[in-house]
Amino acid sequence: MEGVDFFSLFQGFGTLVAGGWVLALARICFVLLGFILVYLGWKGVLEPMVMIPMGIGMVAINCGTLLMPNGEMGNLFLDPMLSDTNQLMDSMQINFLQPIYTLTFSNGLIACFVFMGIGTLLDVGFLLQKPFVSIFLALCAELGTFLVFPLATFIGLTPSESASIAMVGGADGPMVLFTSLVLAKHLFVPITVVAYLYLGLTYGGYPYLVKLLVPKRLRAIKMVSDKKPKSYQPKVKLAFSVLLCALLSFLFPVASPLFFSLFLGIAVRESGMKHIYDFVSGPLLYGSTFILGLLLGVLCDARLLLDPKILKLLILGVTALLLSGIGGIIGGYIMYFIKRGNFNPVIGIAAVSCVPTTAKVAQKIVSKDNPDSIILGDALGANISGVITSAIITGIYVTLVPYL
Amino acid sequence: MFKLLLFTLQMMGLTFVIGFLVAAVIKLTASGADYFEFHNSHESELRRLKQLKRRRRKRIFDRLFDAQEMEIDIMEHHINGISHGADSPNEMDFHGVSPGVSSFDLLDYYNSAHNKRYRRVVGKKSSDNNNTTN
Repeated sequence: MEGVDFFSLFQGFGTLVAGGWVLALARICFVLLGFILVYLGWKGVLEPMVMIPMGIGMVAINCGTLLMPNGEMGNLFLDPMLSDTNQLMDSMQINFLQPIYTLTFSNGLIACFVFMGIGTLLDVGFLLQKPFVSIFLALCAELGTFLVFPLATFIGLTPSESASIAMVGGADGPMVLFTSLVLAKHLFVPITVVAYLYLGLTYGGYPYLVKLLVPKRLRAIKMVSDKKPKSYQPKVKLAFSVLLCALLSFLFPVASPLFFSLFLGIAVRESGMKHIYDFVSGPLLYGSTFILGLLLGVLCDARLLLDPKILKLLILGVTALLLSGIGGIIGGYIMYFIKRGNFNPVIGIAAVSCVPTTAKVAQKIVSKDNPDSIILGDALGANISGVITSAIITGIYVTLVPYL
Repeated sequence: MFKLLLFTLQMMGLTFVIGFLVAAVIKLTASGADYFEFHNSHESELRRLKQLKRRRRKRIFDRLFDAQEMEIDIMEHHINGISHGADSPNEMDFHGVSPGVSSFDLLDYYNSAHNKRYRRVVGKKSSDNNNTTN
């Protein structure tokens, strides 16, 4: 015991000292951030299903760094940068999360599972009622996705990296994960982490944006309709999902796994397969979201995220989300003028496709100013359209950006 | 930079076009669903309406067919009248030869619809005759 010093015995502390003060500071910051995420998730400010496992993962990976037999720093969770088959096989036998990461995360399977689960939550009846209005709002709410792309290139990122970070404006986690995996695999860990962190913030941040841009008088608008809202039969919604899946897959084969997953979810919901519906909308969706949160937390290793591009990604990510929110509200105002005042501009924020968070946020804001005003149906229509337009933009970016 | 902005604008345009194309497909699906739903929910009424239409069409055809036959009869009768001088505008042309027993009864002549047709056919004929005479 005489030859064993404190830092060799407790390698978490040992690596903190051995890695230099910058890395030590970054690790401590991530540990603190992990605590904050767990707290905010527990309080309900952020999505607990993602934030609690993510926070704990962040804490564990940054505390549990040890010296590997070859003398380098590492951990026993996973190594996201491995691509050599032999190394991967070795790692899978040692790192306990490596098999899940390699077989579900890095090939986009988990994003597809989450998307399938989201599909089971979508009632496309709202979209079938007002398709043009919903799609128009959703297209406006992609403002950040479009404007951040040239902006990111302007500040020094490559077009592929720019397109990946610009997708944060679509506010759709699986889409960001998918785009960065295809276009900028070397940056997909930080981009995905940034995206999910910010997506968690939409619930807390967007209400302030809406209150800033829409006066109380307009927030309280109660929309009046001469027509009775139609309810479509499940077979119509099923036909809708099959038709749209075929059309979008024809247009963008690169993004067809995502289209397939989303519309399969809708088809499962509408086809009356109760047991499959219960499985996809319950264990599969919640299990995938939990694992996704856990993997994202574990990927927040300070050694991986000490990339000089991270600061740029953080700024660009929040800019994209902010611009998309503004774009959605501008769309809401345009519809307000087209419909001569019979449209609540707050619905525009729901077109940012963070299903169903932004729709709930929109209804919550409106209910606070006018409890009689019900906009949830229209908000959900715009919300679902947001998912579709994000998928379209993913397809366009993945197909066209490599030619730039 | 300009090239990049142009490229972004092109992608934006393409997204709008595809977005509205998708909206059109959704609208078509919804309209198709409405159409089929209307047909399914009003199936019995639509069947009855179809039968009624068919019957009405049949009645109109029958009437038209009868009227045509009658028109031919009336024409023949009128031609006979002319040939025998009975309907001639010039009374002096009447040779005093009877056209024979008419197949029409009074109702045929005084029934308003038939009478109109009769007058139209006969009137036309007589005006033609007048023109030729003049």
